[in-house]
Amino acid sequence: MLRVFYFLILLLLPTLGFSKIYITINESVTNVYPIAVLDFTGEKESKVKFSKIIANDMRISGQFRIVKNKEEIKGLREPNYPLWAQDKVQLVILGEIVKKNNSYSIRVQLYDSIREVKVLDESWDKVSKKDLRRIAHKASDAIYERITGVKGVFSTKIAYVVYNRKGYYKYRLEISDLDGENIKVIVKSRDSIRDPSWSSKGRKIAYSITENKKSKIYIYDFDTKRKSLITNFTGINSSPTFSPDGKHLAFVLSLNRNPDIYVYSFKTKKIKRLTFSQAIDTEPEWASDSQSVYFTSDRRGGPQIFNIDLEKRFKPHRITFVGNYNARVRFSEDGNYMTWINGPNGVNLNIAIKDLRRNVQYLLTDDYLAESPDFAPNGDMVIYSLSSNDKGLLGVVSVRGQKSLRISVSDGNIRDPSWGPMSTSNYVY
Amino acid sequence: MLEIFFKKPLVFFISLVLHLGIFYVFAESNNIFPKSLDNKIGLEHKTNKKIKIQDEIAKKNNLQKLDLKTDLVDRTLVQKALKNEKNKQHKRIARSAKLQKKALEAQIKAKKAEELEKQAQIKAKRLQAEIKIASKKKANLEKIAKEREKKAQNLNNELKKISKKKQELELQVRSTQETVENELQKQDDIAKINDTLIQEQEQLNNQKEKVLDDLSSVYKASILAQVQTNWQTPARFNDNATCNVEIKQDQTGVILDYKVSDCNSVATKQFQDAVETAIKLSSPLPLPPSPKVFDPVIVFEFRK
Repeated sequence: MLRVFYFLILLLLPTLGFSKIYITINESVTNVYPIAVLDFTGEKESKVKFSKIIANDMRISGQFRIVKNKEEIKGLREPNYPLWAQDKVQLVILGEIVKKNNSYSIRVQLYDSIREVKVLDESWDKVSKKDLRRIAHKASDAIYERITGVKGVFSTKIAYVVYNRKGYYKYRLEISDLDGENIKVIVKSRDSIRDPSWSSKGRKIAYSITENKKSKIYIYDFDTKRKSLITNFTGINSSPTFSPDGKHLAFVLSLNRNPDIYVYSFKTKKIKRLTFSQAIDTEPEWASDSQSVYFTSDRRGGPQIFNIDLEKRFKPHRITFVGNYNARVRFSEDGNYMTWINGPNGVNLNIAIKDLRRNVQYLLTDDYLAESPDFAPNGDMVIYSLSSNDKGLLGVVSVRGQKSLRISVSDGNIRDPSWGPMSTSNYVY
Repeated sequence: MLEIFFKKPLVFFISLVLHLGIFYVFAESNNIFPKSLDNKIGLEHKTNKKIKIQDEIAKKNNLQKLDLKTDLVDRTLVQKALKNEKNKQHKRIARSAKLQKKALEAQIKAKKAEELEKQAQIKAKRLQAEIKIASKKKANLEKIAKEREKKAQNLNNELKKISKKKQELELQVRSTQETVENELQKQDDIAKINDTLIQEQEQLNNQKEKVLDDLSSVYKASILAQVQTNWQTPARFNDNATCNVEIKQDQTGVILDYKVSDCNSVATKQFQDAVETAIKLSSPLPLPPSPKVFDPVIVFEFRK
């Protein structure tokens, strides 16, 4: 009887179908997203091209491809999903600027044409005319965060050094918006200015300067608008870097005719020597926990990156091994990434990055001479300087390896960029 | 004393008897008890002798007295004679004492003999009683043996009957076994035929399944490729983010409906948006290579 039952089951088996198909989709592809930014209503009257500022921010991020608006789309003030989908525009930004008395009300909307939903609707009221650009960057921050889940950095500030051989003051330390607008000159000098470094709260900048053929380290305070001298020793005084906890400043001195790493304590006002090598130790960078310092040293022949504990609990140990040239390391605020200059043979210097969680290392740029990389405060982008046609420029690249973009900030050769912390978006400098 | 009597009465009794015996022997040897006591003990001929001796002694004493009275002259002779007589009397008394001792020993022996006789009688009585009991038991055993013999005979009779029945049953069983074996043989033959049929059917089904599996995997791969191309986003996701999407499609592959579910805690809003976008962009899904592998419901598991 049982055999007959099995026989019947076997006969019926082919006719029985499974009710569902199961498919697993792995590894999303990070790709640029097509996005359209339509002209904001009322932006002509405000004389601030809101839509252009936002579109430029999106472009600089390296995450979006700006779709050129066709004539039939340009005039739209309401979502038209089929039309957008037809043009393969996935995200569309609409907005309006309304002037009320001497202030403006701004509204920004983000639409997803694929899912046919509005995903963002933000407003700012009582915005003064001089704040319009800042609010445009704030809108970019909100859009970027809604799409990527990562805070936007378009309203933060960058600091850099400009060299212009034509002027009386050939060197200027400037800060500006990421798109090169809203420039403020902090220091100008006839001699070299180098290595600006933001404090963690964004209210101070440390830099090295040559005055009367003598190098010095200063800290500029945005609150007091005064600079204070930190070191003025014989020989090299360079590469000042604030610790993330704001308690120390690391820099390079050559008190014994040999550059070594020193640390200044703001609390005790004392300087402590960290390295004692006969080799050149330079370009200090703090670990994200402020407990150790990374630096470039040629103690093993070529320049390589080493790490030393602040309390000297361990000896300096090397952390880079790929390539003959590894220098000027910087860490993201969350400590998940490190970036530095990498050159396989000491030439073709490019920006390398390492995902420390996955232990994956790759090159971010393919420029000829890339220098001075620094992370955006959200860890999503890296800013660096490069030489192109004997001119110093700034480049920005996404940590996910999309094509790097040039930023034209100021007239002259630009170098030593330093990306301000997230808090710089809250201040008017 | 009393404690000894209560604790060990036998010892007490034995010691008492021994003391009395010692005392008796001592008294007898020293003539403590009056002679009348001897008479009570008993031998008449001895007492008669004693009386005769006493009479003779009294006669002699009387004679002596008469001799003293009558014959004072020959006092010395008489005294000597008296002394001799006294010595003789002492000797006689000693002899009589010896005789008394012997008599007492004879009495004790006689008593012991009596006791032994009594004990022998008691033993004999006991033996007789035991013999009686044994004879009774023997009679009972004989009765039981007889009963057992009867039962054994009955059992033998029953066994004979059972063996007859067993033989009959065995014959029946043999006949039924033969019939059953014949039937089983037939069933085995049928089963073998069925097995071969089933195997052939299985082979056919396996072949069909393999073909269908191949077609199904081709279909799945084409769907996967299409959805995978649309699984792209500028968002940063956690490595462990995951969501499931169940879609319903029509025969032409157009996604009619979808439902995002089972998103884990690290699957952000941006992750879910990207999943939905990938599904939307993937419609219509590729057509199946065979209608048999088409399924209107597909469940996608999206991982970072």
